[in-house]
Amino acid sequence: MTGEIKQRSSFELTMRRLLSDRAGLVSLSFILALIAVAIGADAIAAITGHSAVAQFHDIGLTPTGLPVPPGTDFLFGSDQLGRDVMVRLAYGARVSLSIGVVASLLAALIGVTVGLVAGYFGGWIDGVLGRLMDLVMSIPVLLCMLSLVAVFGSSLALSVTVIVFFSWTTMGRVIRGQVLSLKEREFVLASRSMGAGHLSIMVTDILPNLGAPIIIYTTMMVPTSIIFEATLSFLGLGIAPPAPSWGGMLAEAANNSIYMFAWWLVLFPGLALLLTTLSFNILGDALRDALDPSSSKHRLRKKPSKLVEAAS
Amino acid sequence: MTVLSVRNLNIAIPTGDGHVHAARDVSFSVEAEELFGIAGESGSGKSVLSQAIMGLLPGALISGEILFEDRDLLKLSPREMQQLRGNRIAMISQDPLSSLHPFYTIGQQIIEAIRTHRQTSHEAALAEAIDILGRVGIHDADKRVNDYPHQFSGGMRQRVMIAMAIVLRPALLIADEPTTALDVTVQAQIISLLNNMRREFGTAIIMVTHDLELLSSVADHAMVMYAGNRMELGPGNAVLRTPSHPYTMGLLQSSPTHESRGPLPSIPGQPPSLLIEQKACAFAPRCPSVMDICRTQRPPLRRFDDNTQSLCWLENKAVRAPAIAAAAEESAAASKSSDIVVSVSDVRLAYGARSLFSKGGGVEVLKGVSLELPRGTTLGIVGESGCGKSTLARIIAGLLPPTSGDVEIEGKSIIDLDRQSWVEMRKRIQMVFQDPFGSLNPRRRVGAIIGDPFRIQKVAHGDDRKNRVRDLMELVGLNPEHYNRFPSEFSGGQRQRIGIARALALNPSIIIFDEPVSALDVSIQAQILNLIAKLQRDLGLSYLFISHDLAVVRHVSKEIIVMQGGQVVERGETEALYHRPQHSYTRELLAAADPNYRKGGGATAASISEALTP
Repeated sequence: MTGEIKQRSSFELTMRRLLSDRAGLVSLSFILALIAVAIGADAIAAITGHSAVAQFHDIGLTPTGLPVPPGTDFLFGSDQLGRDVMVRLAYGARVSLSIGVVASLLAALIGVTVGLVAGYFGGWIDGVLGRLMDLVMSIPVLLCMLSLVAVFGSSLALSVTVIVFFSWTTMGRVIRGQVLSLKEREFVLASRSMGAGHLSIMVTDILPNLGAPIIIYTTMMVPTSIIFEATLSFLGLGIAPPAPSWGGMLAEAANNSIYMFAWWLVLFPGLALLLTTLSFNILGDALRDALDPSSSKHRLRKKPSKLVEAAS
Repeated sequence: MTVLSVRNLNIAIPTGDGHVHAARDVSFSVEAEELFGIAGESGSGKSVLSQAIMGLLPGALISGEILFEDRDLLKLSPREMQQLRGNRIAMISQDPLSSLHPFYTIGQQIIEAIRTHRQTSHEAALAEAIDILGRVGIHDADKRVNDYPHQFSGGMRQRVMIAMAIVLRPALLIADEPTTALDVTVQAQIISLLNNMRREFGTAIIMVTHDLELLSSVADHAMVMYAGNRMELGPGNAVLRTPSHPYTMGLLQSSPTHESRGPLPSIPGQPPSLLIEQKACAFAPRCPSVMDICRTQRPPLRRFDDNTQSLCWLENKAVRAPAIAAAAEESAAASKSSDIVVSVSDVRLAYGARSLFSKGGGVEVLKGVSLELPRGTTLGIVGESGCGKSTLARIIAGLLPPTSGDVEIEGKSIIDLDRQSWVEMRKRIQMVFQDPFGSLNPRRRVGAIIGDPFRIQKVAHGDDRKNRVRDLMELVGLNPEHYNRFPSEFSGGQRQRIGIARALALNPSIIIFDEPVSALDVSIQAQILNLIAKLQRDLGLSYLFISHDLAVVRHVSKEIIVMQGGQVVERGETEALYHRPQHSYTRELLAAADPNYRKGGGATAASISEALTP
């Protein structure tokens, strides 16, 4: 025997599987780059010398008052008010990412708590929480948002609240299902037989086993939240102008059909939105494959049965 | 006539950790009408071998030859293999419930099997399906052919599987642990059915099993595998009665089937990882007759007079290890005072009885069970699946409230305790669970799992707790340095040791073992049984030992209770019960576990239990 076979830790195995997934890696690098852009938005503004809200009537607009196409002054062109699209995109990334991440984390927190309690206790508690989730899911989102904005006026906090309110249910249902099967496992019974209380069982026995679904679904919730925010801003219910946001930029491009002439006003924010949501979704898939290999089937690569020499 | 001939087969399966060498230079041949047994512990490569013959290992690197009816299966195209599978080579798996489609009637499934391989009309295929179901012992086959799998009992489902496998008269039938999931009385019937079928249709059967006792009663030839190696091959009787290889000998001796008491001669250590390149004898680290040469060079093939072949450096047959003296264990246990630590009186449990809609009905799981456990002794509870023995264990452990009746632990009733005294009670009674994989939280470290009782009961903190956990790990034979590992890094036997260490943490006086060894291999099972016995001697514990395995219960218990259908049908001192069983069910259980009876086919008792199964 030549030596001990070292058993790899589950973290190491997960990382190996994650790193061997090319699409996941590309998505991850895109997201990291986007985060860098969002953090460095001020630096971009400083380098170009264009702030996000400054209007450059002299160089940003043609003599007839139309936006200028991408060129040396404005890499991604300028908008109808003569502002730098690239700088606004970078600041928009800040808004999109922070809303996406904050809203997802909050929604995950609520979803996990509700799902854990509903699944663990069952009975009437499960019934009440289950109907509550049904209720939330049955509320028409936009209608609700419109009325809220009409009452309170649009703000960042309101956007986040609404996004969280309408997206925790998915997580809640997934976690509830997982807990239902986990609580029947013998290690829960073992803990109970040692005298553990409900809270102790939920936190130390069940919660650590929910790590994979929580990570995966939180990642998947980020793009949904970003789209949600963009939709709200597009309708003028989210971030108040002149602060830049991707949805708001698309809305401005749609006003007066300016996009018929200035294609860059739609292309760049649209592309940013598309690539970001796509990347988060692909990353979520890759994470699921890496954390829970049994759920994916494509891992089984078919190799022609090759003849090997008798094992030495 | 040789049906299957496997020559120098090597199988390597690529995984994330490297190649798993599941078979190394394995050769054997199977004659028509023969029952060829492949025995080995889990991870020995026996199931992978049968999958390789079926061509069901897509990613594997296979070399050597598998000659079936003069064709090399390894050289056939997937399409040709598909025509062969089910038609000429059939397979029966361990779990008859998951291998039958729940959505189609068994008739439809058998007809589909027939018409996939043969051009016949639906009517002809149906007639054939009914005929084959009748032959495998399904009564009223013409009516039951329209039933769905869930309408059959476990044993009947396995009969249906056999019918489906042999309906096309295959030349070879591979049965992978065909009886492991079944109760003992049903096991005997399935084995005798397989035995009859091979004579009737001239089918060769390869039976893959970990149950040596079972093989010794039916196999014409047997092969013993260990870590992918063919350790021993020869006529069934010779291999399984007078084995040549020390490993086979060790396996046979560690099964608690004989009139043995006291420690079992177990095989020390763990099976090696299949990822390691083998340059010497794979069994050397665990072998009692190991020599220096075993550790450095591959063993040669020895042939003996009785046609057995063994892969070993020993020139003579393996010798039986001297029986370990049964020590003064009996007297030590008997000298204990005879006070009763657990007393259960007329416990009943019914489900659904108090429901709003069904006032009368409800299922009675326990119908008035009473028992007493004297201090320092072991009470065995035996019964087949569904007899209520595990439910009883949970009631005694206080995890499930009974519908009526009383349970007293050391003179104190545990029914309707308040939270505080219930938690207090946990220090006196603990439980060890059946499934060493399910009963340990996979996301927590071993140190934390064993330290859980301390955390929950709020005794011992910080370094004190850590030291006590290390002491416990040493007590049950685990390396205390593995404190920070996760359960997945341990083997089944080691995990069961972790479960035992956790149960011992609070110094309980009573431990309930719910099938503690049924998920383990024979050699590991012996280690755990010895550990359980040693702990009882050293710590003066009282045990309730629940198992479906008569031999195991007999080995550990002073007194035995036999349960059937939620009732105690017989109780008595172990030896008295075994030699003079009073109840017919006890007699049937004992007979079914007897290898000679299995060979005979178990005619009378079988028909009784057949009548009982709906």
